[in-house]
Amino acid sequence: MKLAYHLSGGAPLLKRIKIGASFANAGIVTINGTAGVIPSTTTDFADTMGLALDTATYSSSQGASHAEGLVTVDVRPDAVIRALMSGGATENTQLTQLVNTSASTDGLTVTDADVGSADMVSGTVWCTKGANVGQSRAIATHNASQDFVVTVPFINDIAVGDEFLFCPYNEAGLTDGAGNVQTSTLFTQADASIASGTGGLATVVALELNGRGDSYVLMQLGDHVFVISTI
Amino acid sequence: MIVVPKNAKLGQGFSKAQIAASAEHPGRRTDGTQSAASWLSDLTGLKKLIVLCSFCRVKFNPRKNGYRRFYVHDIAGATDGYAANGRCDACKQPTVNAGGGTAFIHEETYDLVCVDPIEQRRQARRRSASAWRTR
Repeated sequence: MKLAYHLSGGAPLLKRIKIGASFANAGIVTINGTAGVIPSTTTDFADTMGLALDTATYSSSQGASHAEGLVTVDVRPDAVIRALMSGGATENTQLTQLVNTSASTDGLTVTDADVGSADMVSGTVWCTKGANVGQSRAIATHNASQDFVVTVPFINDIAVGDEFLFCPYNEAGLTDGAGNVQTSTLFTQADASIASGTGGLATVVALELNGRGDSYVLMQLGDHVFVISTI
Repeated sequence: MIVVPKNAKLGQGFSKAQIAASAEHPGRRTDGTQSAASWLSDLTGLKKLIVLCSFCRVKFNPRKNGYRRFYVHDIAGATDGYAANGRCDACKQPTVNAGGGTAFIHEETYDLVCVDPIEQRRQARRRSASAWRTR
């Protein structure tokens, strides 16, 4: 995951934080641990301190350098994190491509068995080939392994063979897709194959809807220790 | 010894923010056993991110150590994107009090955490070019 910008602008505030577990990769969300910060889980960003910007190896034995046991974190709560959408739990999995199998003259229905069974309601479907290239819509209905139905029609008819991509995220306010992001196995990307509304607490700020391997979700962490003053 | 409660209420305990802040690493030793150069050498050896204030950054050669400036786009336009604050790894002062800070990141890590504006423009141009050709 990358540090895209801060909602309020300005420079990042970086802190060295002691670690309670190893950070194998840079760009991992940190959460509170017993001995220090630890990597998030794939579904939990609770009590985060922000995004770790380098790697670190945890050890509970004496070492020569105490620089090893720290990680640099941008602790600003308004940081916007940019995560590559992965089509599965494994990093760099291509997003599932839909090839429309039934014409939709009202521009409302994208039909393909590859829509799968993970509930994508309040996610986003966007067109990558056909008359509606560049348009995206929120998913209103998901009929498992059949189709997606949207509320606001695509501008043009959806023809057989038109290609679409989809993700469980949405930037439109208080819906399932705007409030959660699940990470990939190594915590470095966003797993876009999961049901909408599942994963760690994060507010979707924006979506960069491109191709199968270069689409991004931009999010702000929702449960930051420097925002929610809980005991 | 006089014990004064840290928070407004007795027995209130510590907030998660206070607990998290207690995990902050102290940085280099200042008991006379470690110089700034030694600490920076430790950090560069481990490819850690480095924060330096305006007075200390001129003494660090990023290119020699395989580092480059850390970039985060500033949507407010207050900085050029290369500003970063924290505690200076050399003099240990908060960089906001020492002319502003600059962070240096190892080349291997840069692409993992920074959104490079030049690369973004290159990708956008490539996408638009292919759209013109094929659609």
